[in-house]
Amino acid sequence: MFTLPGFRFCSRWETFFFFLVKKRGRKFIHLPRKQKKMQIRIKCSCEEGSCPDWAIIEVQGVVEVQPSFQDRLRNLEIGQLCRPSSQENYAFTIGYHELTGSKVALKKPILVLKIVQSSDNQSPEADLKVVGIIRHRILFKTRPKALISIEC
Amino acid sequence: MREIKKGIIDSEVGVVIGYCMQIMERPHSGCRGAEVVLNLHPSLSISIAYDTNFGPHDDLILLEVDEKLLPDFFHQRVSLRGEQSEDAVLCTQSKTYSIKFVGTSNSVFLIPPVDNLTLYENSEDCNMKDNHKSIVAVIKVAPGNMELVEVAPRLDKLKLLLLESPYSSREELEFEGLEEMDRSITKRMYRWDDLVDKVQASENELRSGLQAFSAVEIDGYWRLVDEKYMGTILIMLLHNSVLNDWSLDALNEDEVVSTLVSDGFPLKLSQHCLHVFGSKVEEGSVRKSLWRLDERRVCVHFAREILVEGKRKMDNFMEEWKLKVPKGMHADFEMLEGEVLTEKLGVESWVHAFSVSSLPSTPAERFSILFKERPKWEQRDLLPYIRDLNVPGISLEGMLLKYTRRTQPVLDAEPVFSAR
Repeated sequence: MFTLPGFRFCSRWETFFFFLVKKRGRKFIHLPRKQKKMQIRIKCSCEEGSCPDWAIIEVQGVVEVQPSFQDRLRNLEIGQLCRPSSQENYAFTIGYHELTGSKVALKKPILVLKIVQSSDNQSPEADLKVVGIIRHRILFKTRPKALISIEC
Repeated sequence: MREIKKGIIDSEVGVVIGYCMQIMERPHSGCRGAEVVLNLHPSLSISIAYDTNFGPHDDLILLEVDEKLLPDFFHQRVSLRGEQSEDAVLCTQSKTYSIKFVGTSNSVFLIPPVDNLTLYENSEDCNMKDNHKSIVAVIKVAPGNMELVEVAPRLDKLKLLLLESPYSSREELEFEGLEEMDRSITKRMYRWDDLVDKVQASENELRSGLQAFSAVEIDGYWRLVDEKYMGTILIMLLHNSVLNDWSLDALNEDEVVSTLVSDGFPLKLSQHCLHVFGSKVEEGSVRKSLWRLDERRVCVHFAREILVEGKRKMDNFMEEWKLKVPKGMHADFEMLEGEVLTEKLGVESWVHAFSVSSLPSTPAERFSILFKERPKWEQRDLLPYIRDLNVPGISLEGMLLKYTRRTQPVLDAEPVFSAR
């Protein structure tokens, strides 16, 4: 494992990666059930055009952290993302691996919802609120390349 | 030896501000969010790191939504419904969706926009970073997302709720003098808001369901009226039509209702009688509301009345039925499709009541009850009992394939269906 100046940890790919597996299952949203009302209105404080855009970087695999850093994930760098040209191609460098991918529009947008606990004394109700929308993801699905030197 | 080139990031600030919506605050220096990732300037690089508040954040849910549903979300016209024992459904004004979780084996790094980071504390740690470096923070690795699947509204429960206290002829006598509140305590009755709360259906679907069940709103409560009572009112209406020489194809609403009220029936139910057994006649210029009695609905009612006691011999039944239907109406056995079943006992044909309206609306349960009634069904007998099944995304043929076993004893003969 390299420890490089300016980097706090190195990640490494455990096994090369696996095909994307999607597991569809039934799962109920686990909403706090102390409330009496059986209806939860989904709130949204943003209007049509102004829902904040969230982003997703998706990699086909798992990023592993060195055991010594396991408890200190916060603020730890994962890698470097760069865009070499004006095309929607991206390079994501994690440790000594480089992934190549692109920005892809989602077939269907994804809303980011947040469960908001309102701590009223009368009613411990929970609300669901739309806090953002995701329309694109930066998807990396090719085999990582082991690097000797990085250019960007 | 590796070399890492640091990206040129000063120009990024211009890009970020240019892209940002009005609601965004100035980003903390050194800290960046989703905007930067989505609009990464060519030949620049940024650092992706775990946020100070990185964690499971189970309170953040990703929900995949069709583009055309977005306005409903933005205008707060969407709600989740369900009791503790039920799985939650999502309802818009007119449709119902079940919610499924789709897991993924990919690592999905979720990056909020900059102003969202202020939702969490201590995001000013970013200021400690090297000012030249742009750091984008990942708040969560999402295990997957929720998906919506359109489903039929769950209206069987509505029926159960309404059947808890049907309105019968004894209602006025029983509750004379009781305050409304006492009434609703002794009898379990539901207002519109209660039904919306308890039934897993969109409001439009709920309304259609109430109409399909011939429910009526009395004093703010939605009620099903006892069939016998409705029959009494109908007979009265028919007597009056003979007495007053009314045409059954052009009944004057005001006249009919006022006569029934003077005969002692409640106003609401007198009006409801026309809704149950008739349809409004569309007359452009005429001011008054005209109604036409529906031959099929009236005849079916009388057939059910005969069979309520049990099965009858076919000849016997037809004779009595023809006598009961009003003059001018023709009782045709084909009208009873989906309402009665016939069986051969010895040489005699017998008929008994078996109404599709009393059967569950979910396919699995429906077929189960049908096969309990009869292990084998010919196609033409079966169809009237499954035609009304509505499951988005699956056709009638699909349902037959899924829930039945099809055999064709002789070629050219009708297929026969039995349980799987």
